[in-house]
Amino acid sequence: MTSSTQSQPSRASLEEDRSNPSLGAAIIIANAPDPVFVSDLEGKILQANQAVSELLGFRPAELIEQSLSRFISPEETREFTAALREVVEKGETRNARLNPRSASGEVIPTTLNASALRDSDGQVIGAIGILRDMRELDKARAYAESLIKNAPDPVFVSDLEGKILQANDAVSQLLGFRRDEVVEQSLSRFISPEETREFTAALREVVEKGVTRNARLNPRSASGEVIPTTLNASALRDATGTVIGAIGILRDMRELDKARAYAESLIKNAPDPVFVSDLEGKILQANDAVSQLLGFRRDEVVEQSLSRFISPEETREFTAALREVVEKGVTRNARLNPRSASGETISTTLNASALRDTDGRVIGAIGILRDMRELDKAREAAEIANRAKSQFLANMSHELRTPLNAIILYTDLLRDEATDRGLEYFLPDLKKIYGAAKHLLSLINDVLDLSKIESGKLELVLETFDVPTMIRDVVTTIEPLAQKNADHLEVHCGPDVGTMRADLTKVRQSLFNLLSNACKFTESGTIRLEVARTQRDGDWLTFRVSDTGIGMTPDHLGKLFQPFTQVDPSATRRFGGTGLGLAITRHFCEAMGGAITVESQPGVGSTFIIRLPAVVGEVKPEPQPAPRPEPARARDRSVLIIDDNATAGEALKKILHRKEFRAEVATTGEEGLRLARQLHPGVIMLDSVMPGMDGRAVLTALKSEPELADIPVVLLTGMAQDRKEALHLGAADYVMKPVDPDHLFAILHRYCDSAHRRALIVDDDADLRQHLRNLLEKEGWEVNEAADGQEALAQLARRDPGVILLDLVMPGMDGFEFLAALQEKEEVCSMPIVILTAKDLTAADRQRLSGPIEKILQKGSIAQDQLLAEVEAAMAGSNRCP
Amino acid sequence: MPKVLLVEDNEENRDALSRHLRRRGYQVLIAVDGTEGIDVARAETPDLILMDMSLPVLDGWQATRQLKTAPEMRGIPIIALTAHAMAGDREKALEAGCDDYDTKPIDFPRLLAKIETVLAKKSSPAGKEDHA
Repeated sequence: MTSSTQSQPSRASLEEDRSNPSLGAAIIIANAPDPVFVSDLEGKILQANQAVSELLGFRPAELIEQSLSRFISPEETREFTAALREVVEKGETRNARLNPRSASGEVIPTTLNASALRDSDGQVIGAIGILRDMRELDKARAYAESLIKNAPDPVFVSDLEGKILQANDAVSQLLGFRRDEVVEQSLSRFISPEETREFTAALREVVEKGVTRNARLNPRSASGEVIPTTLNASALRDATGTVIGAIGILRDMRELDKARAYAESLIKNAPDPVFVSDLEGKILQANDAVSQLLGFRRDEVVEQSLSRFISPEETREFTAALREVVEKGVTRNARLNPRSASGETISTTLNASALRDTDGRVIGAIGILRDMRELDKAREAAEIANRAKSQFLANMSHELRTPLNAIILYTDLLRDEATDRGLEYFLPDLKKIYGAAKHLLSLINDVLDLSKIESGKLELVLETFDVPTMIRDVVTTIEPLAQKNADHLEVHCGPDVGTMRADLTKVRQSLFNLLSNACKFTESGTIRLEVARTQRDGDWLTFRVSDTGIGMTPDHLGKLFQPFTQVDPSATRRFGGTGLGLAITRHFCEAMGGAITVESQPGVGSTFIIRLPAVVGEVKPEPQPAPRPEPARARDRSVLIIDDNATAGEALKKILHRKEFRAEVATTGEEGLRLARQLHPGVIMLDSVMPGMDGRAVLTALKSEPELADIPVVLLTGMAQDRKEALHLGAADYVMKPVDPDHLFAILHRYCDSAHRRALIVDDDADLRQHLRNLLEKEGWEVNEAADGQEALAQLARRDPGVILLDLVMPGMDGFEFLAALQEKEEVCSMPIVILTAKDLTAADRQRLSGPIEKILQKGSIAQDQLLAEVEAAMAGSNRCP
Repeated sequence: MPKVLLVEDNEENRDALSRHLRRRGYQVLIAVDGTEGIDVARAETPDLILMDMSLPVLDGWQATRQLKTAPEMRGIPIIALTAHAMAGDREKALEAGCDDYDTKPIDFPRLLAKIETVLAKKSSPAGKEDHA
């Protein structure tokens, strides 16, 4: 009988045919979605449904009346036959894996579920076979097995009772058992009874609810060692979604436990208050120092939200900072003022950084509190002291000058009145008193100036003024003194000199100082004042005061600008002066962003040159002169990039990462400022053209904030004219776009690697090189040497030094030629060079040296610590690039 | 003979300055504080006032402002004599209405030059102008 009828028998007809069960069964089979067939006691297929046809690719007519063995291999036939016998003889259900060949010759992996077909008497008359297509399942199983096999973590598969069915190599490695010692064992064999209970409970939840559970297990290894692990157990499902077991992943916790214990002991023992919080700011751990600071017991702090101890506004700030820590993994600082147990408000700074698990995921924050009370007090005290000092200086100034003023006025008056009354006898004495009083006044003025300079109270009062007019004033004032010494005064003021913006009083005072020195040291000679304006490397004014006076030896030159050092004691007594004038003049020049240099030859004369920017920037005056200026601040290798072009910024960031610089990118000026305040990077790279707050505005803002002003800013610019303005506004350097990485790193190394102070000594005198090397190395410098210019160039190719000490007269390539060669190389053009020479430099020499030179020092006239100071200052202060 | 009002509380300065000025041919009037200065100015209408800025009773700044707002005295040029000469003092003086300023310690020739300049301006057809 075929089952090809498609019509559904009516209920009535089914009941009618109840006596004919095979018909009912046939209908069910026909409509079943799974492949179902009916076979006789020998395995001949009596009926097969559509699904069988579809699975095997044969038409029903090709299946009916065929033995199943036609479609399977002889081995499988044997297996099937044995299964069939049991089904038929015992009426039981059997499963067997069969791999029938389809009509197209393809082998189809299946599972056969064979059960007894009975007649109405219960007699077994055949078998009902249900085939399950195992292809997908086999694929999935094979995939899962390969995953497990190859997984680096220890993974095992267990059945519903916890018996290990499969385990990968990593399990063996972890536990020290062979696979065959593990498979078919219950997991409980390896763990303690308590843990078995825990594991069983977890397994139950996995199996019953299909959820994932974690448990700490400490299995004993083959060698008896207890291995702390975490078990992650998840449901293993079959193709129908039924949970058939569990997949267990073991995590070896030994390293993690060690790390945790270490971290806990660090925190516990840390002298600073340290706490650990979760992602929401709840304190999970806190060390003793926290308790001491806040006055709460640990148990009063742990499990509390940090916000319990701070105000609502601070909670908002803290929450925002915490969010950034957690979301971006960055470190944030915030001022917090928690209330202690006694109600006192404690001024603190919180440093919050990300706490990560072994996968690197942020799981909370580590907070370090710094008690700011002492610091705040100290700061306030310093400010009070500072104000008091200012007040003192102002008072002193007034108090000292008032009586002296009376002396001067009255003496002057007496001289006039004595002249009127014909009392010439008194005139010489009165003149002496007058002269002494004037001298005393200038001494007081100088001392007060210098004390102002040294306590950082030097202020620049900037105004725009006409330079020729100022020159005329100064000349008028100096004329009497020139006449007194029978000197001829020549003034050359170029027509294009124009106006400048500077501190008029200080410029005048400086010029007056130079001119009066010139007059004093020149008798019946010529004093020349030349004023010129150059627009190379920026807009500069040069004031040259040269005389045909007694001149100075190199020894004198070395001491010239030091306060209170007498160049030649007898000369000072003869010529007057305070010994302070030049020191003050130099400070004034440097405060205005300029410089003063001197050349001199004994018996011939001296020339002093003051160079000032035509527009003096509103910058803080020069840091105060100790005998050793502050060395360059050690900077870290962190860079903040401010560029509205995010792609460019990211590209730059990548380049920097490759060379072990840390970089952050901001795409607007405002964001850049915010990040600068928070991160305080070693260098800021600033794009000059940005919408909204542009580079110029950002630069100005950066230089006006005290906390940020000392971060060097490198401008990224496409246009040449940005450079000048950038340097005026305070940029330390610039890089042309598109960025040349080598040039970029040369510049960054200068600002970030100041901790690596590298000097290149170029001198043919080997003893001197050794001497300088010793001197510098003692101060922590790294020193390279070269005997002439050629070697120096080779050295440069290898390593970028922070500063070059260059001798001028050398065989082979001398200093001048070296400099010329150097200027060819753009990337080293802004390297600071200190000339250390015995040569008396002529004007022509100076011409060749002008531009790239930081300082010219005379061998023999310079003290060691001054040399060190100059070298350090050169390295710290270099900021030019043509 | 031009009339100069010297408002100065320090006796020595007062004495020396007035003697210097008289020798130069100026008629010198004296006041020792700000209030007296205003009174004398109103009564005598000097050609020029030399005003010390740190005075008792009424200080130089206030006195200057009062003088410059009073219609009958506004035209009198004032030269401020200021001891401090810190940044801002100059601006402060000019803002208060001074026509010029000089710093102490007084350098008499320098002060004299300024006095002559200010007086010359006053009598010129262009009249008084603010000048730095």
